[in-house]
Amino acid sequence: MNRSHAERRWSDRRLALFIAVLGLFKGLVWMAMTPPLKIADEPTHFENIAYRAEFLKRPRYDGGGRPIGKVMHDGAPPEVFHLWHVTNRYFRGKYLPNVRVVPEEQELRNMAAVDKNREGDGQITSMAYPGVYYDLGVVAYDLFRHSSVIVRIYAVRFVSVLFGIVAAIASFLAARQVFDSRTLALTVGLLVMLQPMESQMTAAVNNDAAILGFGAVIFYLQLRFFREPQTVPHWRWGLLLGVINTLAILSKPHGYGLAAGSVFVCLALLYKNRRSRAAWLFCTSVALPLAVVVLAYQWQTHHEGTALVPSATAHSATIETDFVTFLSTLDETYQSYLFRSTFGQFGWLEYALSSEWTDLIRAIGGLTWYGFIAAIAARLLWPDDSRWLSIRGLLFSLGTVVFSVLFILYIEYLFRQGGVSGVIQGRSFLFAYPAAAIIVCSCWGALVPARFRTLTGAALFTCALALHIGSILLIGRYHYGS
Amino acid sequence: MLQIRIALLFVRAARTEWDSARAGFGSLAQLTNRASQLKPNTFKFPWTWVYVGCFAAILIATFCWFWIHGLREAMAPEPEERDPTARQ
Repeated sequence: MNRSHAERRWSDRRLALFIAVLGLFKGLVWMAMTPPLKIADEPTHFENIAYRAEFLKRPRYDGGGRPIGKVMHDGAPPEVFHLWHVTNRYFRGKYLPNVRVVPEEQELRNMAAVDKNREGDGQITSMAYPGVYYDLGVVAYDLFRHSSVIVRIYAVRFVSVLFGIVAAIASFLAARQVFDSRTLALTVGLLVMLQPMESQMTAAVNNDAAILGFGAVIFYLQLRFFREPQTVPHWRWGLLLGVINTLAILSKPHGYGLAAGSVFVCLALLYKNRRSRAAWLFCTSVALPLAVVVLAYQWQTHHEGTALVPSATAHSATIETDFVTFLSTLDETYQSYLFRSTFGQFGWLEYALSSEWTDLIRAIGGLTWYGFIAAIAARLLWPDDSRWLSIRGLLFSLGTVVFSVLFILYIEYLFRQGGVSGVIQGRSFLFAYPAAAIIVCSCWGALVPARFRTLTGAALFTCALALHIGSILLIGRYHYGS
Repeated sequence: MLQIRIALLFVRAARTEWDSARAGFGSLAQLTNRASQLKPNTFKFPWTWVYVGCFAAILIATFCWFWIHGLREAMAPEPEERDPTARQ
């Protein structure tokens, strides 16, 4: 029997494969578009990987007392130092005309052949970070060790692209836990994939990519288990959640913010199944990797004294208020900066999305708010008609976003107590973006009858696509315009 | 309708971005030359056209699918409710 195209069922696996293919080409385009070392903090993250690859150990503070250079420093590997200055020269109208290969590329290839040119002193701002992402980057680095530093940077960037693909697929699967509409769930995956800052960080040498990838998987697992707390999953799923949460924490401390959701899910399971041995076994499996590995890591860093090192970051007066007062008095300029840099600040301030874009993003937020009210009202008034959407999943997503924002702001608060301000940027919030995308799609979908939900997905996809194209044009103009 | 209106505003903003970027890019040859410098060979043009072309093609196909499928769903007749009293 022949199945017509109209009758063909698009399974979740096929859509996940589609997302993976689209994510791959998107990542390659973003890698190609951005010059090496010209994505935020890429020099320090690449140097971290290079140090680990060349010396087979992680970089540590040498106790010299001098401020650590934020972007580039005299102790960088000579090839990285040289590339940094070359990329500063080749900018906009200063590229060589009518050629696609420049003499410095051969210089860098020659430099890579000499071991000393690849070795730096490791005194970098990223040395206090844990190293899962960096150790993964070493694998890519080692494959091209004697190739030009440019090739090695791009090899590690590809690792970030893979994390980005994982983030988009996990977001799609998470959305499938929250609503029935497959097209809206696909929209969630595409919103995550096309988010400009997420696109940049998952095409850069930056441990944010790992947090984004791990974070989306963790969120998917949390939703999967929280959706039906009366059903206790097998302990192997708990171990998986615990291990991935541990990997996230060992990539970047933002991973602690993700652990809170895992704790909440475990408590919900235990509340419903407190007499079930399987439930206790599951929760122990979640907690065990976190407890063992993270505590060991914390002990090691405390023992080595590698918490904070002197930095060349701008210092300000310490604050002595409590966290609630800090939140309520947070200056509007910084709030605006955080919002802008969540969606599109690709380097310095003039290299950011215009206010026209941010106003449109706020419009999406405004409509989302009305949709949220509609979703809750529909569940209360017409429960049978609103079963397409899991209110439990929607509220869990909302809780994830709220907690993540507060958690990141709390990190800024801690820094300000230490006399350092403006450390947190908008991209720090991105690990909660899958949850935010689910909220937007759920709430927009709640405003329309079922037969219009694919159109809702189309509208949101169009918004995301337009923003994505705008960002590509902005970045391209910044680097290659005249 | 409001959702579609917001989407159209986004499209307009992208169009504005395109208009302001186009003047600064110069010719296509100039742009591809600049974007190829200091890149690995597999990320220089013309190789990059493969990635750009595939990415653009998939996006366009997805965009068309979303809107065509969405409009078909929206305009499809409501399924008739079975009259439980009618004879089968």
